Amino acid sequence: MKRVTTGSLLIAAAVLAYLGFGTPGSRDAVSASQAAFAPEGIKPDVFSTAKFEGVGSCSAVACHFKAGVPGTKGSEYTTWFNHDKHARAYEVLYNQRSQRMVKLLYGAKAKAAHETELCLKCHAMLVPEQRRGERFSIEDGIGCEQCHGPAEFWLDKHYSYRWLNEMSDREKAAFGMRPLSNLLDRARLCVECHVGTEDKDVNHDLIAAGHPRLNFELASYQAIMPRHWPEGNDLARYPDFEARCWAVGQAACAEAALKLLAHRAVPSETKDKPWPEFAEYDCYACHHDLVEPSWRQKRGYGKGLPGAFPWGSWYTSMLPRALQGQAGAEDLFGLLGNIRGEMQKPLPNRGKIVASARQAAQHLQSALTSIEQAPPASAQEVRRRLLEIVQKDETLAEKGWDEGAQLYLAIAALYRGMGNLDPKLQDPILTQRIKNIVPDSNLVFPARRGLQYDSPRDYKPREFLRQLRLIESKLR
Amino acid sequence: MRTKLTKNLLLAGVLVIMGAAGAFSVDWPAASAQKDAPKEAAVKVMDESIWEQKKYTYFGADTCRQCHCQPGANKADFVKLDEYTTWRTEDKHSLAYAVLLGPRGRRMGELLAGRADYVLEEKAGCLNCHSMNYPGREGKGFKKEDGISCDGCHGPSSAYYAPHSAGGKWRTMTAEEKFALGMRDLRNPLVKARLCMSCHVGNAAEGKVVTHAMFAAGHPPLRGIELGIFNENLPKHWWDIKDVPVFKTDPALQKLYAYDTREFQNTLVAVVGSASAVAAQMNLAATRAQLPATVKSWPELSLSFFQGADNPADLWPQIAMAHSDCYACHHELVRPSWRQERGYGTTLLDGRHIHGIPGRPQMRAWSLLPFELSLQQTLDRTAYQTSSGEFQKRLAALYQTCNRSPFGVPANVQAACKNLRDWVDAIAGRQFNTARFDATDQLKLLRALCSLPESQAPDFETAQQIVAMLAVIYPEWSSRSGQGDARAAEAIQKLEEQLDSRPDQSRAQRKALILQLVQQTTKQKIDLSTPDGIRLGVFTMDLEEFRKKLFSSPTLEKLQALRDKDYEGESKVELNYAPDEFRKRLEELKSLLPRP
Repeated sequence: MKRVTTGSLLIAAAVLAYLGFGTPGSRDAVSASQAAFAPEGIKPDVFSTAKFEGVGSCSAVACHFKAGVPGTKGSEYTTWFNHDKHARAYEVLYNQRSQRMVKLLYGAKAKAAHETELCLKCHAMLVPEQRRGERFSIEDGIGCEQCHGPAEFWLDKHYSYRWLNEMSDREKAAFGMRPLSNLLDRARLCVECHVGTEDKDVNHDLIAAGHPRLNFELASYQAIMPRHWPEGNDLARYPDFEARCWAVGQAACAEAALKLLAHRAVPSETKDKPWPEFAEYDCYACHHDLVEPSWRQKRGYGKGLPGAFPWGSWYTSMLPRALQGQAGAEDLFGLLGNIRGEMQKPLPNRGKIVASARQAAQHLQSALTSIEQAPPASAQEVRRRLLEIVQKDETLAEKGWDEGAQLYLAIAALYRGMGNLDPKLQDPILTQRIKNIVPDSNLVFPARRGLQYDSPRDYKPREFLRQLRLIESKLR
Repeated sequence: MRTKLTKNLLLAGVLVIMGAAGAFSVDWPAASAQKDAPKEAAVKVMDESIWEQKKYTYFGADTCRQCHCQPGANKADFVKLDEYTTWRTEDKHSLAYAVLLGPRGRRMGELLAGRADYVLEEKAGCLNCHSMNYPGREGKGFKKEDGISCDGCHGPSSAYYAPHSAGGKWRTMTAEEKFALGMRDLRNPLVKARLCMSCHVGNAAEGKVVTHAMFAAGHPPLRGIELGIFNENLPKHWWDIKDVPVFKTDPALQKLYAYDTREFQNTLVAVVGSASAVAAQMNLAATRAQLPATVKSWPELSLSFFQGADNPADLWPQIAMAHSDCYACHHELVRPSWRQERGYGTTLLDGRHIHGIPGRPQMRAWSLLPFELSLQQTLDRTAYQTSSGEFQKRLAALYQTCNRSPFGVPANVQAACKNLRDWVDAIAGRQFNTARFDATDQLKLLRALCSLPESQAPDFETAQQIVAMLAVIYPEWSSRSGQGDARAAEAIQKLEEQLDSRPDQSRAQRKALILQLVQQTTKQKIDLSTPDGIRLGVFTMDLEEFRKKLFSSPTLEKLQALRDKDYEGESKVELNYAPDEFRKRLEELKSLLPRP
């Protein structure tokens, strides 16, 4: 797999994706956990018991292996295999970086990366032997069933007339097919690996060993992912797809990040779980050269202690906008403030963190349902939200790269969302100005002396602000 | 090389007292007065707490100036008698307090506590290194503004002031007799190492700690200290043993001061220093990890951020950061990642690897490799193999505790550090301090410093240590063996430039600035371009006027600007450091050295 910085990847993605229009459609929200009844012979916990049949079961030419344009009906497997990095997730475990990672992590006791359970949890469909069908192969990486659900009970049904035309997501889920047309279900699926769970934790040990930092943002990842389904489907369901996807993503990522934080804070009796967990913190607070004169000291530390750990803000800085108007938002931000205060202590109190993080995740859970179910916004409403962000959130750009990048991604997503609803509101000059933020403020880290820096040393918030003013004047 | 325990009169006192207990190490006082711990190995000579018990006071430099600032230098006796002049015009120790008043000190105060003057407050801890902070024990002529002056290193002079200036008997007294009166035996490398490192590494029991918050607020990095080069680069106000004029003719004094014309004194200082550095680091961490902590050992406690913790152990990560490897975290994230290529944990000189979990901060490592090299070259083969195994075992225990949880748990860190400290200390006292180096030994040591095994990828600070040792040992070997080579000397000089192991670049400019003040405050018109002129100038200047001008804002700002320029240069040198390039240069240097 070609190595691309996560930062540059998602930004490049967002820049590229200025598309979208569609027709309103029906709404049918269901999640896997809501699968209320089970068809005869199928256990209710079908998702954790049914067999994975393998991508080989999907790749018949007559089914999903047509040689059509990527994203068109019938070419799903083709699109995945040819364009989607998920198909290479396992392969990457053989590269030099992965091999070095396990050596660094486990020393003499290291197994190969492709045999290390921790890696396989996200880089392959790791199910026990008895749940692997005949065509299943671990080497296929993240294949169809990792997202769509184990196919044992639906493989021979899912092309029937009844399945295609009469069954609801809820009914299909009872057979083990994971509902994905609902944005909330989709978001919660993606964050399992891309933000992390108790079981799939890219912590600081892994990052230091060589794993790229995870900084996930749903709307831009959706935009860059080689789509193997018609975009019209999403727009039919959500006319304001891009804007809503951004808001759902913000809240779903924060929810997952808080659950992960709570998990990280719970002491383990069986293994030495690191605490404080450095992956929770702002990477660049520590990771910068010690160079004189120090820009860091010039900038000052506000009311904080020089040299304390600031809690990372990737998953929270845009939340106030994403949750605007949501009931209970104030309580949530109070909790997040407490967490931030506790986390910057030398050794944050685990109990307090667990309690606050769980409670905050609860808040987000109800907010998420309400965001997902809200009636579609009008083009003007999205424009107003966009304008508000451009006008009022400029301090985020000044705060640091993480905040700046999230701000940019929000602007890009809402701008695309506005275009979903009314293409006439987009205009080439405005599009260009939004795009300009990235190169002008060095949001994508430039190479220096032949080295790829993963560092905001060249980030220019002033340029960001200048572009914001230009965007504002055009948007008003 | 074999070490010799005997026939070293300089150390006779130490040996007699320690010999009975079978240990030759120096005892470290605990942070809080714990009287219950068994101290059978305690060296009474070295226990400086007796000075406090006897209420010896610290005289100021103004008092010493009466004799040690002679306009005509003493070129043929015991001491130079222009020590004050050297200290006042060239030695940064005289400006230690002034920096607190300068722009950087003030900004640090602002960032740490919201007030510029914070750094001058007792509880901030700054005065413990930037001045002689012995409340209630200020003696004749003491001025805290004079920074680190004579008594700061030589010991409180209230009791020895009279006898040492009376002449005659004083110089025939033994080191421990003088110690009883308050004077440190700075001719003893171990004592010297302990003293310098108390500030330049840190000593929490004495309140000498640079905290992580201080670094973050702008305290310059405390680079690894290589005692030999520190000794050489300090504007010397003394003669080395072999150069003391009066020793050359007086056999009684020769015996008393272990006079030896062979050139190995600096080699010895470097070797002893390498062990003392490990011990000092471990002692600092062990003392810091001792709970309950006091404001003395944890100056952090005076900051509001650290107040109100339910459990002091919860503050440990911030405390421990001060002693952790700065560059473990502080490096730009870059691909390909040199950090990951280098790996984690540490590989010892003999190839044994100690596992370190990626991303877990470990103790600063600059002192390890120089110590191992000294160990390898100073001990015989069998002793080295045993020692090396011991070292690995003890160091591994420290890594293990930091692997288990970030920064470890205080009690475990303390135990591991003490364990390593005491062992290294014993080596320093028993094997290193008594070692005698002939030219072949020195050559072997030089060659070993140049032939790092493939498994070693020294970080910047370790590389600095290696170069410093080369720079100290080479001239001695070269002059003794007569086998020196201009190209080798040049190669070392180049390495010193590349690794920045030379004195501050601004040294000359700083001296010029001070001399300007001398010029302005002396009534006579004196030509300050010669040593004699400078001596006369400092002798005749108006001290009060001089201090007033020194502490005026324009001077403080100029001094700060010079320092800032130094720091900037040093940080650039560090950024440009490349281990592979360094190794290549060492190999080139090795090819210029003869085979023993």
